[in-house]
Amino acid sequence: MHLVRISDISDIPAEQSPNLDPKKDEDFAELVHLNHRELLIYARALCRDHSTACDIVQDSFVVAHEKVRTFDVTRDFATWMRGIVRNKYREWVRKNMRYELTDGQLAQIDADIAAWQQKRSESDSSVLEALSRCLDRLPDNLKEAVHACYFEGRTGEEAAEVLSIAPAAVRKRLQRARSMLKQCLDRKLTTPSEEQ
Amino acid sequence: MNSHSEPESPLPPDELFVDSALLEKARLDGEKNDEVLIRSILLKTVEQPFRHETLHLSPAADRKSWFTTVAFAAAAVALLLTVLTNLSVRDTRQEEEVVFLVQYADDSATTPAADKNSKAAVKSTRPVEETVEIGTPDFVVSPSIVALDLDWELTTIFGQSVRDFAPRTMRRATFRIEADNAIEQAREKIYSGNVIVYYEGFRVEAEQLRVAKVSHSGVSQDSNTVTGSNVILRQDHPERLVKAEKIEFRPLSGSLVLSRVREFSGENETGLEVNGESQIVLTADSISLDSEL
Repeated sequence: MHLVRISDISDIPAEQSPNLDPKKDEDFAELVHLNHRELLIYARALCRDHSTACDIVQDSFVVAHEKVRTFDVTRDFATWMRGIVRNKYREWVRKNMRYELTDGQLAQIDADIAAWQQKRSESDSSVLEALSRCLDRLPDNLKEAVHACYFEGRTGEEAAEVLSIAPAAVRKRLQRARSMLKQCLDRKLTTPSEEQ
Repeated sequence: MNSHSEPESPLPPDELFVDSALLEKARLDGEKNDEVLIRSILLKTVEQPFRHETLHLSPAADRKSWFTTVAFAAAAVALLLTVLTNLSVRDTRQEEEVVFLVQYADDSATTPAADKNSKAAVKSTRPVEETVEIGTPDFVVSPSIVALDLDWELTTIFGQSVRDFAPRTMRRATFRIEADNAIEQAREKIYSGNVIVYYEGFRVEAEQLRVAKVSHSGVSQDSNTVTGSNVILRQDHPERLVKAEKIEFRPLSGSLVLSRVREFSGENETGLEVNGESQIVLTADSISLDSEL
């Protein structure tokens, strides 16, 4: 596990989409297209709810647009956006009295998303495409558990019934699957995207 | 789709990331983009209608025309954009996600002069004789929206004087609908056979569900956007159960209204008396009781 402090990664200079200037409307629209997916994954990892994640990402872009004059074009837009998403998440936690992730947990998730934003900017390889390839490599029993719970939307109990195993075994398989997928994604970060 | 960890006991951070990516991948399977979200973001940022002026008012006439526009904006213009996204069809069972973007002018934000309770004294009045020039409103056509029956979106653009007192707010309401059968008609889509609807933590079983299709100018706030018959509504937190003859979605408030209630139980409302003439109005975090009469 590699832990990175948020303060360390916030100083990454602009490397993504160097030709896009968020102060121009057409470029801002392009940056929305380019960045929304990872920000959605980021927000969802923080708040654990898709609708809330959509609201957080939308509100973050609105704030970014309102404050775009203050944006330093020599800095990284994606990093700036993650900071706004993080602030919006904290607002949501305060308003809704939810459990808040620790700084260390936030930094870990932030680092994962940052790495994939960087990877996409360099090789046009998105985290979801890499995830697809990693899913294909999972052992069948883990793949089945992932498919039942994530792609068919079954609860642990329902998946256990379908797979004829105990609910605890489903949870264990999901845990192993997530762990293997994370290792696979980390490997893909350090290898050229052409390597399947 | 269920998240596989409780918010109060989160997964380790590296699993949280993968869990979130898996959930997003599953949601996007079959779809290649997030057009609804992107459209919504762009409408609130670079494509804000109020950023462009199309009502041209001569300076002297501005005050008079202001009253006209206040009346117009205070009517809480509600434009509803409905997008029906076909998620998947497993076997013969329909599974769809219906997203409403509720866009409305916030009349609570009008300027003090528009306030009915304004105590400002009127010293004198005299007719304004200057010509009021009103330009033709612009129409923004957005063909990029992916929708079942929606070819374009119509947005009326107001002028500078509207901008100051009627900021528009946008909210998203997402319904996930599962049903054995679905029939498309000109103005609505009708679901039947083991209909299950998920919305804001509610699970609703219905004999039949009707979802209005959007017209080119949107749907008015009074339209029956989503209605269901013979329903059983369940909420887990707090625990509630309602059996009613009719359910209706109110887009502006985001609430569900149940009428002709047959049975009601709620862990926080043990003393609440509900009869057949009661209407129960539910949001994710509130409940109120109205009478149909």
